Amino acid sequence: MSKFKILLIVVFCAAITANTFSQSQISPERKRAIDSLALEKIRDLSKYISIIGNKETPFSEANRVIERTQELFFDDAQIGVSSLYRTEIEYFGVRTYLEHLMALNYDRINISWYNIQYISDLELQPDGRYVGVITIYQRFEGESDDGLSYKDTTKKDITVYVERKQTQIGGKLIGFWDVLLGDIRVTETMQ
Amino acid sequence: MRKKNFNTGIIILSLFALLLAGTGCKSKQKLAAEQAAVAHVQQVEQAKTDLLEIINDNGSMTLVEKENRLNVIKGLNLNDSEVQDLITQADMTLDKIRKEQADKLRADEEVQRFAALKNTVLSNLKSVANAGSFAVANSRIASALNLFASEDIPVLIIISQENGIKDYDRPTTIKKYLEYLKDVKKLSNDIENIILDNRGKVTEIELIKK
Amino acid sequence: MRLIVGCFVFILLIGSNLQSQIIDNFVEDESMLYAHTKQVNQFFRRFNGEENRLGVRSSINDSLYQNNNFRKEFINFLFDEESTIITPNLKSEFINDVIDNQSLLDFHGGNWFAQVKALFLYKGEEKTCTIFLKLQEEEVGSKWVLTSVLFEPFTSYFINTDSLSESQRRFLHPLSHELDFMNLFKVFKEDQILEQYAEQGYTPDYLTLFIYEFRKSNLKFKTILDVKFHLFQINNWYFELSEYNRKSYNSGWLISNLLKITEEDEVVLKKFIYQK
Repeated sequence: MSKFKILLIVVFCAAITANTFSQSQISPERKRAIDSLALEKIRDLSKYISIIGNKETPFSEANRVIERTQELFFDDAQIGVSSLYRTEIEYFGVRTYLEHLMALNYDRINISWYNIQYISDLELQPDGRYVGVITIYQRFEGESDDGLSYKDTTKKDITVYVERKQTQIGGKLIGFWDVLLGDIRVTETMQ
Repeated sequence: MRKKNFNTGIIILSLFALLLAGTGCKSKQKLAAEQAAVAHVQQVEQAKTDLLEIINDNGSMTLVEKENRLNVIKGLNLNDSEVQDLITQADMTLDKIRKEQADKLRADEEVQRFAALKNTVLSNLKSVANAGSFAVANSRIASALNLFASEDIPVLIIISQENGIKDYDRPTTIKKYLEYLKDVKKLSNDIENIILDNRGKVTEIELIKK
Repeated sequence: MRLIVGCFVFILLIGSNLQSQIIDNFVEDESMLYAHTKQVNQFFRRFNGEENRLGVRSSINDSLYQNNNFRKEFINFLFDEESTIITPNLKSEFINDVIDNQSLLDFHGGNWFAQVKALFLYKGEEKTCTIFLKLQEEEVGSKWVLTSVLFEPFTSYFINTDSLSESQRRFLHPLSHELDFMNLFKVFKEDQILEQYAEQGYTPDYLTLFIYEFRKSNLKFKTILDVKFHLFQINNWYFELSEYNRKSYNSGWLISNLLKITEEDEVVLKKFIYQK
């Protein structure tokens, strides 16, 4: 493990207690920057999901991307899925969900994203972190050589945790926004 | 008798002329000395004016012009303490200008070198983002990593700046960032700053959201 | 007809910004997704007129921010158009009232709560349970907290003593103490209705029972079935918020029930919802 990584981890731990920012202190400009950072993480997630789901992706790369995707999430994040025919929510861990996606038995999978997103207000929670929810829509199409095909459109409500942290790099104190994804609610929609 | 008178007259005239001539030679010398003194004063005054111009010049003269003028003044060997002081001052001024110019030259070279390096790094990042396949991207990542001191060097990404305070994304490493570019296939940052080690390898890179 | 007009106006509203894009040879029309009230947060913003037609939060300096005419249009679309419970007259009275009084919804304003229907395994058998939650303000931030539960295996065990006939009613006479309460023997006989010996105003605390049964491992969570919200923030009005997942411009989080209420009604209605 490099010195940088160790330093980063140590400072991360130290920073967890330093929640000096309150809601009123975040200016609209900063909020916009945080919103777009959070949205970028969601877009990254979308791209990772497409790579993992793509049958052309080499196994080693898909596994690497699963690791990267997991780094976007809190450890205990869950994905709750319901369909039009099964309204009960089924719960998956992030890794299980992604591995399930990788193992789908279609010869061709096409995952696309609608050009729409909704970003909630960032709310302060009792531990000093901020929480928001970003809603996006995904279209999934799977097709097998034997003609079997499946299509759905899902609404994904994604929890986003935002925390102000500080770390020291090259003798400089760096203030950064740590954005991590939490639980995701996946609902099949009537599109 | 008349002739005698004539001769006497000539002699007297000659003597007078001689006398006159003797008196004229002496005042000419004095004049010359006076003129020389005036010229010296004028030279000193001119030297002072020139030296002050050299010292106080705001860019109307080039360094070479100033050096030439100073050398001319020095060549006059003017024995004047004020002039000598001003020469010392002018020497100092010119030294300062020489140093400034050298610094500027170094800074310009540095800027050019930085711009060239920035372009190299940027084009390497772009080439990874634009790779058509994982295999191509991986070989480009391997070649891009040669620019960096190690694959763990920190990458900082500025997401916003307000009142001089920079807000960053979570710091990452260059290896992870290059892999990120491979995955998302898009470079949405510019290079804000690069820090090099003495081998010319990048030890820290600061990016900024476009 | 109302629905068609509603949809038409909504299309007009967002028509200038209809977003279409080609995704892998499929032209996707996203206007319906824009119309969809995607989050409760968005319901609040739309109700208050605090976001533009594309769902982007408006600045306070924006002329449309909390603008009355804009709100009037928007609130009109925040009702379940397929509801038969809400009459057009009641709806328009509500909208006019909200606009005239410039009433706004406030996420942190209290007087609203969530009702969650969930599935549990109770002693090995699947049972639904209704959980009520409210947003509680903390020293730092806020959080949702459990306020009460409704669970049939619990509620069916308790008897409303008001429903007992005179002949069924039992009590401990006022001189029981002189006999060292020896008559408790009769109170605790099998099949006795213990509730009638409790003090006036006693109500069973199902949340405590729920926690007790959970701790005893008799209750296991399975899944969430349904979520809705009850809002009492607008003076003299109550409305219920439910989520509709349908292919329509009228979908997402919408008002599913509306009642004009007095202060006394509010107490009764809350009791009714909590089934107290």
